[in-house]
Amino acid sequence: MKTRFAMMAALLAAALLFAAMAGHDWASPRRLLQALSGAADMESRLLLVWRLPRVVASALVGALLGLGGAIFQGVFRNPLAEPYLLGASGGAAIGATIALLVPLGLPGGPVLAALSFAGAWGATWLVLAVSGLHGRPDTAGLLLAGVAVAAMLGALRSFLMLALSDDTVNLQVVLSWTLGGIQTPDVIGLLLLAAFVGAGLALALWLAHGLDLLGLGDEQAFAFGLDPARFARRAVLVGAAIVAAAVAFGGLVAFVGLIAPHLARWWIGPRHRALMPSSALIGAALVAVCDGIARAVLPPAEIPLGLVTALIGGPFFLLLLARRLKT
Amino acid sequence: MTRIECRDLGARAGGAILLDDVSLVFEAPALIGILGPNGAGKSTLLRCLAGYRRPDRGEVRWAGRPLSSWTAAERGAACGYCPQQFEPAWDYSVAEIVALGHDRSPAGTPIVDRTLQEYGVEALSKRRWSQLSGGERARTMLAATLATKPPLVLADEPGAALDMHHRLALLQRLKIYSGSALVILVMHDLDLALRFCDRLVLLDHGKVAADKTPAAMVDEPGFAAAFRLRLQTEPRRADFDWVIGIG
Amino acid sequence: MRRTVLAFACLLGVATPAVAEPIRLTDALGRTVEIALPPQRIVPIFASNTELAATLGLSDRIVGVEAYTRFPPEMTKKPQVGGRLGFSVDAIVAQRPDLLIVTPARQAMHQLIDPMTRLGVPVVVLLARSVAEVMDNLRLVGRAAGVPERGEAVAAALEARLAAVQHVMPAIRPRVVMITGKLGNGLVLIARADTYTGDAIVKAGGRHALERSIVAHVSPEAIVAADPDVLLFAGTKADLDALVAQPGWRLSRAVREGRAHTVARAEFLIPGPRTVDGIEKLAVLLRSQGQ
Repeated sequence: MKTRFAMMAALLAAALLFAAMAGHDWASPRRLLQALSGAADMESRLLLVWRLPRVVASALVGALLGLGGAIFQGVFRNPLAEPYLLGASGGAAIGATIALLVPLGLPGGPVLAALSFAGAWGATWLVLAVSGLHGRPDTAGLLLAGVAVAAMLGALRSFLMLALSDDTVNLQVVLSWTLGGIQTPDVIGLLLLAAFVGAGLALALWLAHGLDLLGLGDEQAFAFGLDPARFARRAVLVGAAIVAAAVAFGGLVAFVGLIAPHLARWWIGPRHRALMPSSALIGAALVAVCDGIARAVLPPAEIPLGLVTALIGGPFFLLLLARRLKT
Repeated sequence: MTRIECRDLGARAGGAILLDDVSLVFEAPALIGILGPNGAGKSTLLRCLAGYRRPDRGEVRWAGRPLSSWTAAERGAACGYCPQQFEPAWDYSVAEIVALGHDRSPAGTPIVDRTLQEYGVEALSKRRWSQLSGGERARTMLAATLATKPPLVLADEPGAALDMHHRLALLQRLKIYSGSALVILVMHDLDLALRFCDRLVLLDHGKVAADKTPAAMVDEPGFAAAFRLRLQTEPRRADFDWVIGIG
Repeated sequence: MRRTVLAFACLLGVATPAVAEPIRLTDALGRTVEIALPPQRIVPIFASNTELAATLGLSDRIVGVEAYTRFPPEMTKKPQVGGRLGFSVDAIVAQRPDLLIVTPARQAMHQLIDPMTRLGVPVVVLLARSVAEVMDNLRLVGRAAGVPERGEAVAAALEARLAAVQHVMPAIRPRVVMITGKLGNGLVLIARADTYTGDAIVKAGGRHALERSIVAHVSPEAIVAADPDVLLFAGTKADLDALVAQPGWRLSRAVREGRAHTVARAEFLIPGPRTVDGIEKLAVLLRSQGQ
């Protein structure tokens, strides 16, 4: 077990190195060392001030997605569950649309993050409320409510986008956000993101035992002393908050929340105490690498991060299919 | 946990009545078998007694307190509930499942290996659920359920997947266990029920048709009628004997 | 008798209203457009086309504009035929236009060319790929409206102003990046070299700091790394300040040394006569920064 964690940490380190080197201008490891040691030339300072914080931010966002995905897969007892199941993406998009298109007179960056967080988390509360209307919510009920709420939010978002855009700010602004992308955070933003990851990991570990029990099946979990409905609700809210934080800092990044816990489970097994940190590490490595690719492929432009992760999502599912057909 | 009881229990699903005015009292120590034909409401009764299903009418009390006032943790520590079906979503290993069973007891760190030994699944400890046979799975679940030595055990057809030898062994173990606990089993094996249980409750169409000791139950006219069979009894000569009908 | 007939014929020749020949021209997409009579009811779609028509003195003949048209000021009083949610063929037809001037953006072309052509309303499509093409558009609109001399005159006057700017080009042209917008994911939009905005920058005496750019959205890292001499921002000062407050921008010399300036969006993002105003102002600015 320890060796596997060490390997995962090494993988993350390699991913971070790749991401730091990647960009519209490839930076050799020597250049990176130069930048880290405080060289004063513009290139080094640019690496230090713009690229490295972004690499760290991308890894932190990936960690959040890995944690959120693992929680959702645990609650829904399904390795194909992903963090946007319960309307988080629809709600976040509405928050972002308002932040980007309505001149609120407040500093843009924090407002965008705050509103997309509120939208993502708020949508999940809405789903829980809707599904809880008929007594004890079960996972099937949650899923149905999630699909319904996501559809409504999607329509609302399209309407808002049309209604709020004008000749200075157009739909492309919002669409670019929805495709996912990490912006270099300032120091406060980075600290906040790191705090979210720390809190997220702590909460995820707190939920680990309950998720193990939940994975035994509703009735068996009950037999082993869990209140499945109440726990599921709590876990969903925590998971949704973690995902909302990821979305606030990175937009809608597809597939990482699905792939990272899946890979972690293959590598380290289903016990959630080990699964949570593994999923975070793998998610961090994935997003760091994808962000590096996004920056390096089409200089001086960038490919939206969500597109890069989707491009690896497809082959991943084919791989899953191949494995299934083999066994 | 010396006593559990249910009063005027009623349960329905859609239009069908699953339980109709069931009132029973169970006191430790005892091994009680709940019998009845398919659809009689046995599993529903067990679920209500365990608290997994809230009855539509009536209430269940454990140790004098209404079950609804017990927290999930208290309930898990006091009771070993072994449901009929178990479909884990993830491929846990035997050791992991037994450890999860252990975790519901508030007392210190579990000694998983001892439990594995006790229930004869030590050799399987690293094997994953998908690699186990039906019988091995049943024994694992039992080990996990009884790992914390709960004073109340509710099990729904625990021997269903076991071969005859293991079924016999299982009931012998539960008989010994019931010397200091309250064990309530839903069973289909009439002969094992009559052999081991201290008391039998016969359910038919959601109602208690009979509530007697095994000796009295054999003579009960409704017993065979409930199963729509004619029963022949034959005295046993030794413990590991199994009487089979021929011809 | 013959003289009388001849005189009468001449009178007829003079008195009959001149049956103008139909105007025939090729628009920017290579379409041949035939306009039977000098149009009296023109609908220019997009602010740029409205400005072109207004500069040629055709304001009275404009009977419908798009919602975002704000210049010249009297245009805001004209009936609106479309805007944020697209263009309404019904609203356009209600104005009974006899000429439509369109630019292929925001689905205008696809939505309008077919229905209008079927209704017999000529549609002229304009493109603005360079400043020279903007000047030629003035001529084209002049011809389409039946006032070719006016079109030529206005275009020639603007071209003369451009030539005057060219005369005082500094020897060393500063490297420039013009940011025209910001995307939701942190990328910024810049004026690409192969657009009229990019061309305008060059005509004002600048050089493009970012040579190669396939798409208009660019990573801030690339802009800062290119280290332009002058950073231009098509927008408000408040937005510029908010942008350069973000990580990395302070490393750019242009920002640190106070050579980040705003330019008017209307002068650089609307391909019309005001573009020349923008070029003149920018030329002055770039000359003063050139040292």
